[in-house]
Amino acid sequence: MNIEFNLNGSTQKVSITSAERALDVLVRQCNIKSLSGACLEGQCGSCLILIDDRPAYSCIMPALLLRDRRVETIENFTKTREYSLLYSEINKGGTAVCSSRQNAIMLMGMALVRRTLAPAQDEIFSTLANAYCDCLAPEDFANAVLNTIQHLATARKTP
Amino acid sequence: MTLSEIHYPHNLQELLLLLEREKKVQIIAGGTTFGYIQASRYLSFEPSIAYIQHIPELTSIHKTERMISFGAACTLSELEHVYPFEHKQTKELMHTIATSAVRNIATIGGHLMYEKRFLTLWALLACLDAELEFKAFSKTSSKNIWYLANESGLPAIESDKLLTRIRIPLQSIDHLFIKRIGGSIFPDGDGAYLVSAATVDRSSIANFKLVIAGARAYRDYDAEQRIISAPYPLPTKILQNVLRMYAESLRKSNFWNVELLLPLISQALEDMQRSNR
Repeated sequence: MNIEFNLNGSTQKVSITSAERALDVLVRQCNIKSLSGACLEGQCGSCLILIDDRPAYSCIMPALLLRDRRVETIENFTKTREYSLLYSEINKGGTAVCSSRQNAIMLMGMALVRRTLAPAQDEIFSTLANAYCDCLAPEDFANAVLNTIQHLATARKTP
Repeated sequence: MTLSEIHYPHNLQELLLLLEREKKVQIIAGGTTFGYIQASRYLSFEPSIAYIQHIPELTSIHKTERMISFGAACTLSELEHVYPFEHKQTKELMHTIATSAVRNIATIGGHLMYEKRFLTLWALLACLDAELEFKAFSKTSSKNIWYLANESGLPAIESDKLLTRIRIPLQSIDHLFIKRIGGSIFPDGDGAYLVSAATVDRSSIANFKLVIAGARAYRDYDAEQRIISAPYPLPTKILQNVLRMYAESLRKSNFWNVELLLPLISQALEDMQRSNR
């Protein structure tokens, strides 16, 4: 069956079957390189996408759910100023995020930065839990997100 | 790998017509259960499947003075900010189901219609007297949530029934006690939830329910009635009597561990004794 959905701002037309997971369609047909399916159980976060602005595991989602949805992967953000700011905040002080979780963590951070001006700490922590990485303390992630939001707000005020 | 025919009904009427025409249609909303349970790369469904998460009638939330009603295809995340999940304890219970990346896709209908066991929110919704609306092409029926359990307390899900809405009467929850017992609950762990809820006036208990749900669902109507008819706070004699009633009915069920559950029930009742002071 042919379906259409919006992927990183462009309309995608793909052919799906009921047996496919969203992850496989995004990787094989849409050539999204940032995703992988390590666990197929919605645990590790390496398949994390934003669907209508909210994080979701593409490995446990049937592909048929993609129809008419707005899907974003980290590729949509890597060239933005927000991404650079968040990236440098997360890596400040020598914190190294493990490479298998980096895309997911950056994607969740971007979702938070874009969605709200003042995310509550429990919202930040529960978002990070979607791809928990032992290398990154939840408090450091929260500080990075909040500092990025602050930098962006200051930049907007500066003429 | 079996391939199914995929249907995308635009509205409820179209879905009901499809279910009437083809008797064996599998309903897919969030689909996370299937994706999680099926370990193989490729998913298998019935020969015909209908995706329902975009149907407006199944994703709306209405609130009146007396009740809240939400569509069965509302995601668990969408319900986080409405009664009864806006309270701290109930929100925490919601968060134990899964991470937000699952709750953003999984639906309340899928949660309640899981065939193997009663999942996390079941005991809470049973305590709050949730009503379920089922629709077929020519009729609508409304059933108490206990309709999903048979006489032995086992899940009795009729997969050909379409759950459309969940309605919960709005009530003041003065006492809420939630305890998880055992290990995981999904997909087939040995865990269960014990939930008790009460509306307490100055000198009486207007409403009290205590439900245990996991592999089976349990409730003692007689013990609940004994509590409701008693003065508040419960005199020690009645409290002991009620505990004896619970011990007896748990033993009779021949399933639940009395030694484990009775202290928790006692703790729930003690918590209620303090709730309006």
